Amino acid sequence: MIYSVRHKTIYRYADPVTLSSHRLRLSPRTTPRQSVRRFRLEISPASHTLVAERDPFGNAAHLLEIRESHAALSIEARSVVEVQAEEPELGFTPWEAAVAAARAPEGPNALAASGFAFPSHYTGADDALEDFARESFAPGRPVLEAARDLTARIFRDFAYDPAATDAATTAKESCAARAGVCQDFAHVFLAGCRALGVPARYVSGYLLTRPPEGQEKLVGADASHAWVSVWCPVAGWVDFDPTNDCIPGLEHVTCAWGRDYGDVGPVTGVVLGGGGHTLEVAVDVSPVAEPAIG
Amino acid sequence: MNADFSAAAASKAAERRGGAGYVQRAGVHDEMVDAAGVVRPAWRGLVSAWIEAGPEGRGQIGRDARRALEEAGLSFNPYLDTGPGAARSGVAAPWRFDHFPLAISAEEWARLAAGVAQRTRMAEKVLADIYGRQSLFTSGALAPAAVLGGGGYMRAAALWDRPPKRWLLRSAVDVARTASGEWVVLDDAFDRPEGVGWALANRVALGQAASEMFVSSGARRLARWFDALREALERDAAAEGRMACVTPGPSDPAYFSYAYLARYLGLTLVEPGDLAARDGEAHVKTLEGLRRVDVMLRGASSAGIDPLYAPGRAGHSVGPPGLLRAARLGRVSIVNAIGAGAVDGRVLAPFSAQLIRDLLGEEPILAEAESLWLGDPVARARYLDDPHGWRVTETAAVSRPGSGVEDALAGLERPGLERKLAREGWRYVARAPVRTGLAPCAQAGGAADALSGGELTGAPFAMRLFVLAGPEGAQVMPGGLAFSAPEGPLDALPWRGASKDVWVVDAAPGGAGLALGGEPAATSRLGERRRVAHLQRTGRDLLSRVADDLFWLGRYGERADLTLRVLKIVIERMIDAPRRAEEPALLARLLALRMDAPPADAAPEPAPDVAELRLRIMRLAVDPELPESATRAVEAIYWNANRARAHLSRDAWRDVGALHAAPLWRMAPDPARALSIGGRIEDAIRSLAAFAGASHENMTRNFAWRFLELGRRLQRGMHVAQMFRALAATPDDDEPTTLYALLLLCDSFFAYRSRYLTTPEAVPAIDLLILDEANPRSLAYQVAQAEAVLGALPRATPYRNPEHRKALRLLTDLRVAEAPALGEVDATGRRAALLGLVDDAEEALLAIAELVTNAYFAHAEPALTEVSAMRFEPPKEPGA
Repeated sequence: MIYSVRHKTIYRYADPVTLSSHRLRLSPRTTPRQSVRRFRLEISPASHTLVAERDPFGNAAHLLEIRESHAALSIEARSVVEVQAEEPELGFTPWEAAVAAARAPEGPNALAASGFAFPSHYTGADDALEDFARESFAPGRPVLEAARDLTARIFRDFAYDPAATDAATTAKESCAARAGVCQDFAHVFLAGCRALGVPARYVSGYLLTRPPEGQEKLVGADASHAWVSVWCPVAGWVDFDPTNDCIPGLEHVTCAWGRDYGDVGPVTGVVLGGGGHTLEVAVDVSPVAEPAIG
Repeated sequence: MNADFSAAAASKAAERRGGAGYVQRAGVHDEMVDAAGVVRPAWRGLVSAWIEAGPEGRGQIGRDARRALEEAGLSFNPYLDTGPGAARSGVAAPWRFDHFPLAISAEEWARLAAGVAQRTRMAEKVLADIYGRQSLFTSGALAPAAVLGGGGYMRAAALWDRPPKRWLLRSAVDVARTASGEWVVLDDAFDRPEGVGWALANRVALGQAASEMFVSSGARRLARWFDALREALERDAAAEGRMACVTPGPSDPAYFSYAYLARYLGLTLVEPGDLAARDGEAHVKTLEGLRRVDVMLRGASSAGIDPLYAPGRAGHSVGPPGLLRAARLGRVSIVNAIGAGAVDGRVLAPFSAQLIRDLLGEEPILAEAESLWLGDPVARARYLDDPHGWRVTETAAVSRPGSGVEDALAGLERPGLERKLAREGWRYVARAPVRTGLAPCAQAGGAADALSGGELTGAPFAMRLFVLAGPEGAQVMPGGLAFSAPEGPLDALPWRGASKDVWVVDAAPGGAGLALGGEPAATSRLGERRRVAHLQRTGRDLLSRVADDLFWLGRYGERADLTLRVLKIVIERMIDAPRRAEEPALLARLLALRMDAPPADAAPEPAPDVAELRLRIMRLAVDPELPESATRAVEAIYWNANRARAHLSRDAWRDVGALHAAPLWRMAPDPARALSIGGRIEDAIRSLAAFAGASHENMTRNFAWRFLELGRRLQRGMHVAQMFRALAATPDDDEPTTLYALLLLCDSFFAYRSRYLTTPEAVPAIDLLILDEANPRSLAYQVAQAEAVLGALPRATPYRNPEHRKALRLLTDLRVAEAPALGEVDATGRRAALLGLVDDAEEALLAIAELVTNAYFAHAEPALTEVSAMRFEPPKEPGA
């Protein structure tokens, strides 16, 4: 499947901003099931500097700096991405084996995984959260099967409620509230896994949405999305989407991964001045019939 | 003298001179006296000189050393470290100093130094590995959980194409001596190996106060080590490159140490707001714009060094956005490298012995103090057997001045404790209290004012040693920062104790010969380079923030001056003429000059009684809650002077220190004492005048001086305008008395009398205090001086700056005004022309202050706001 993705972010400031510095993580990344055909950033005001770098998780990041006074900042990322279906085998590797492999890593894969086995800012756990996770992780249960079960239980037990949480909400808080949005569900999932020592990472990206039967799809109505990936010493990293109770397939476009939201926020930065600001985000994910010309 | 060094003989000698005997404790290692009761050889020169000095001389050493430290401005964090009153009034906690040093023999030192050097060589390799290939994790030499879960690991510093050339240019290792005489490691401090400045200040102070003792002890000097440090820093600097030392600012507990070190090494002392990163380079903000920095000595934590890499904590960041990239590109050398804290505290403790064998092929020299890393199930079980026998801290935490000694898991009981540790035990380490050996202290317990004769008692101690990674390998500073523990066993460096200088004593004392008198200045080629750099300075590269500090130093100096003069006059008149009917009303009006004055059109306040006046006097003098109080102004003077210290003369700084240290500011606002503080108020006025004089006489007329002068003139001009509005714009029944007070406030009564020989009248007073440019207290004089300074500030266009134009206009208004016209009283009983003039003047002066702020200081504001494209938004319902 080939998608064209447009992700537009607009800040409008109450007072002029004299200096602004941002880190962007808007470029989809190449993965075993995804290849990036094209990526372009359009930024206004035109007088800016943009530098590409790769972060320690292998994500493409851009540093954006604007030094002239501006009242609005618009960042538009356009990409064309080819996504392949993948039917992961859940296998029989018990979760304790994943824990042990990450704790004392022997090869490069386990070494990379070990960095995701510890709580991060958003994914600290308490007894309640650990208990919640343990219900899925019975002793000896295959790690991916347990992860699939945890995915289903978060989907079932948690209310999808944007008003219940905000960008600063931690896993403990949304777990106690049993509510949140995709970001919170991912954090709860990760906190649960890491409380047991199972390596798991936060994945940011996009989700194709379909309008209800007979309606036109609205421009800009798609969304950036977040899900998780769990490490199995045999199968490697396998994605799970607790917001939609599924294993991501053809409709998930991967952007970046990290320990939590803090590592992969699409646009984060600081400004000098500005007073208050408003933010407008529009995302469109649309299937491309013919392979786009690079 | 050297014949008999048994402790008995020593104490006998001490007794003869009025001291007291030194008591050993059986079975506990003592630094000074061996098991047989004989003073160890390394201590003999020192002890002889100590005894020789006599009680009087020993007390003098303590007083001299303490005075030297006070004059250096040595304190813990003035704003965090507290007694109850200290927090409120911002009075600095004193640095406790024990003037009896800790001596270590050359042989012992060689082994200890080799041990800490070995440790830092190992840590350098560990850091290079864990931010690179991480082979130590796969080989099993180091548990990933200890590092990655430890909190000090900076993911953003991993896997750089061009990793830092060196992770640890300098390191600090904390060691203690056990009761059986073995040195053990308490902590490693790599991220912020702070304390070098304190060690140096202690040495300079004690070296001056006890030069005889120092010479006869044969202790090694520190200067060469500091030369080597400067040399090492300069290796990374371009020919004309600037070297900066960045700290979070005066509110950080280690600020003094870095400020002192920066002064000594000639580094520009900067705070977060002084820095900018552009195009992959780091800069400081100066009056002339951005100036590149190529070496940055980091006195701030790695975390948050760049707000772009610390989402959610931009408000706590200590560097500018983009600094990390500049470091990554190798265009600024940050020392120590960002992320060095990954193996701080006790992270290495369980692994160090094997790591030293594996990475260096050597046998470890120093043992670890006993501790349990709770990521290890066996250690965890041992801890859970007896949780109260240990103190738990975060694994990578290092004790800092002012940090507490509480247990990180305090209050947790089983089974919650057990569960938490099973889940995240790797985050914590349990420290066993070290049963330490003793070192003689002249001031056990560390009460800052215990200046008594020089009795020595044994006290537990620990010390921090400093290591520099020099070109020829690790160099350990031949000294250190020791602390005697206030009480009981210790498991980390006891910052709350009294600090001690550490003397490394060579076998043959007296070799060095010269009295210390401050460590000798550098004689290396680096000194040459610095002198050249100095000659190139125009003074225009003054940091914008420092210009701001100096401007406010001038303003607060004037504010304090007026407040103190108001108090002085009110107190004097209450004592001299308590029964005159009109006095209370006038005195209330005078006080109202500095306390919230009632609006001009409000009904006249009933004259307050004497009790109320007394209360107001004390509040205006010492109430820290009252923004206009003298104590607040003095605090602000100290704060600004501290931040701008590199630009003040030694005398000027000393005057600020004396002003700030006056006991007056620690008085309670007790009305009963209102009339007895007059003498102290006069002392404070004198200190302020001394400061003004010293800064006027000793500062070159560069940009630093200009901003100080400008702040002073603008503020004083505003004061004159305010005083005339309040006291002379509407003549009252007894105008001569009011004008007399006005003349006194402006310190111009004698000038008036020598000119007019009459009781004060309005028109001559207006002429003298408003229009006479020859009177340094007049409004016209302030405006003329300010105008001259403004004309000399840098400008971007060939035209005068707006602030300069405003000053010229005001000056012209004053020059064309006539005193008799200003003195006229109109039908409403007011001097409308005078009122109009002083209102305009005050408005113009305020506007000038604001224009100056915007033009020269605005970009120094670190007011960065964090924005982010928020969370992953839920898909909107189609059609919604």
